[in-house]
Amino acid sequence: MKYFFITLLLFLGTPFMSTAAELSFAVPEVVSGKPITVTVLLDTESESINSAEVVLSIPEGLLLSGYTQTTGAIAIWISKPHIAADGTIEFSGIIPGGVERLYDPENPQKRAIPLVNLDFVPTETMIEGEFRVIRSRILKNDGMGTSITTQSIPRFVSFKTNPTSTYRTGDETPPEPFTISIIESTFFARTPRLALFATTDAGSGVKEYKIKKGFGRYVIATSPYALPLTLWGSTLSMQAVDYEGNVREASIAIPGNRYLQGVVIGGMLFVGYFLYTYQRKRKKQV
Amino acid sequence: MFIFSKHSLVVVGTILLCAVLLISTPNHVEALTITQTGDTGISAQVGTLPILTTGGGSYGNIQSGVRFSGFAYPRATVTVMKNLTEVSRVVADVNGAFSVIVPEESWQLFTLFATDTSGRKSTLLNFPIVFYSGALTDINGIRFAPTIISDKLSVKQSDYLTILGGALTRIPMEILFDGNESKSYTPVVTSDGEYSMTFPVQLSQGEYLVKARYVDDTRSSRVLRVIVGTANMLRSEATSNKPGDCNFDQNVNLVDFSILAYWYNKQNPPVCVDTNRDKKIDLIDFSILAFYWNG
Repeated sequence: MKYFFITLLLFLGTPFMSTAAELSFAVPEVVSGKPITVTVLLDTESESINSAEVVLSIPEGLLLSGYTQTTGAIAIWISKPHIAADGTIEFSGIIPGGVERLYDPENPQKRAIPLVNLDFVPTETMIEGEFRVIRSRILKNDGMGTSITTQSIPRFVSFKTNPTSTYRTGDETPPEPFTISIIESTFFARTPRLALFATTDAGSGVKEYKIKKGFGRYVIATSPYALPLTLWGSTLSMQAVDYEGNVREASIAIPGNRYLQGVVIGGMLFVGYFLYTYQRKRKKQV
Repeated sequence: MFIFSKHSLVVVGTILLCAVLLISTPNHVEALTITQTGDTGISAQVGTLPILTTGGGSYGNIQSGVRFSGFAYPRATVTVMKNLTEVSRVVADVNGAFSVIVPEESWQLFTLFATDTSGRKSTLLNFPIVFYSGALTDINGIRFAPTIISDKLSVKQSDYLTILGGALTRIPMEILFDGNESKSYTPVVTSDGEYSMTFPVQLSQGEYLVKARYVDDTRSSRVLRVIVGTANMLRSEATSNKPGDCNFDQNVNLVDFSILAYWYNKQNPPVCVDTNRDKKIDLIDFSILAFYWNG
């Protein structure tokens, strides 16, 4: 009788159990001398989702060489695909408005959305191992950031290839032209003045951005980049560098901060007034 | 010992004059907006509608692309974006029907939203689409949920609140209040696609999430936060009550995302970026921002 009720409860409960979203990998046939592009797929089970944070491990002998920005659903990156300190690959981003499924007219049953295409180069002759999701967070598009249950399917690969540490795509086109935007801040605001920048590179992907203030040296930067308050204006120069070393430059004139100028000028006015008053007093005394 | 001549006073005066000129000079930032999105707009049926491909040949001058069709609101403007950048817009007819063709050859994430005749925007609708050379992908049956706005952010208990927006005519719709208690109201949509409903709020005090939807649809408009309390506050009097709108321009967009991104994983963030008030900036805050994103 006890088992009957347990079975009945399980039977009745089944239709109300939420189905889990599924993360998986698509690995095309490996062609020697070409990068290995791995697509991270997400089947949301028709749930609208708007944020994803994924950490994954890859087979030994593969090195992340880039990602294709224009063929994934993640519209805005919080953290672009990169190699973490422990050797895992991490990325996170958002899709404003949310997304539910893929629309493929030839394969309408395919619903899994490509989140990102990751490019790898082999550094060993024999590659054998698994692409595996270590942890992930997928959030619903419900205005509350509710997590959805996610399971993952690892993908085993085994192939021989020609190792190369520097894969050449033959891309000679620099990243797309881009502009730098400035979000101004106030003297007392806790969020500093920020420089925003973003571009794409269809050939090999944007590897990094470099920034230079005035006559300084270029340093690697990420958007948003915090700019200190300065009294005087200067020029902010930027370089977007793709994985083949092609460079696209942009610059913007940054004015001096008006609040800081106001403080300095206020101070000068005060000193001027003090000196003027002091001078008059002295004249009267004389 | 300070001794000042007329010359020294002239010098001080000149410095002060320069300072005044300096501060009165306008501050120009020659920056352009990177990307902008529109607001929200959601179809009721699009997730389950068949997708047809007219294989072989072209459609007009387009060799391959996508046709989006469906219903927005009478005379509404439907905007199509690719990678969050506008690529096309079309005006719906008097019945709210629209159809737009966009050429495309490779995989693409398209985003659609509708703007009613009063400038209110729908929620965003995203379509990740695979394209095939020589084929036109047809995505039909799109229906945007109604737009919605209220005259007050906070309303005194039993006082009057007005909810208005754009919607399709002849399709029953409802306005839902969800908070300490739930209640629904049924507005009437005029022939020009507008609805407006003023009623006394007979709800217990607290914060309510208010949305509009068609009765035969599970998807809803953007969500408004309305507080039922002891005083009235007009929406026009408020700076902003949109979660994540850190520069208080009534838009949740890339600027707000960037401010949030600056505080990501940093201690003690400002209240405006901490959208769920848990004193840390993590993926949940970004998710809430993405939900309220309106360009």
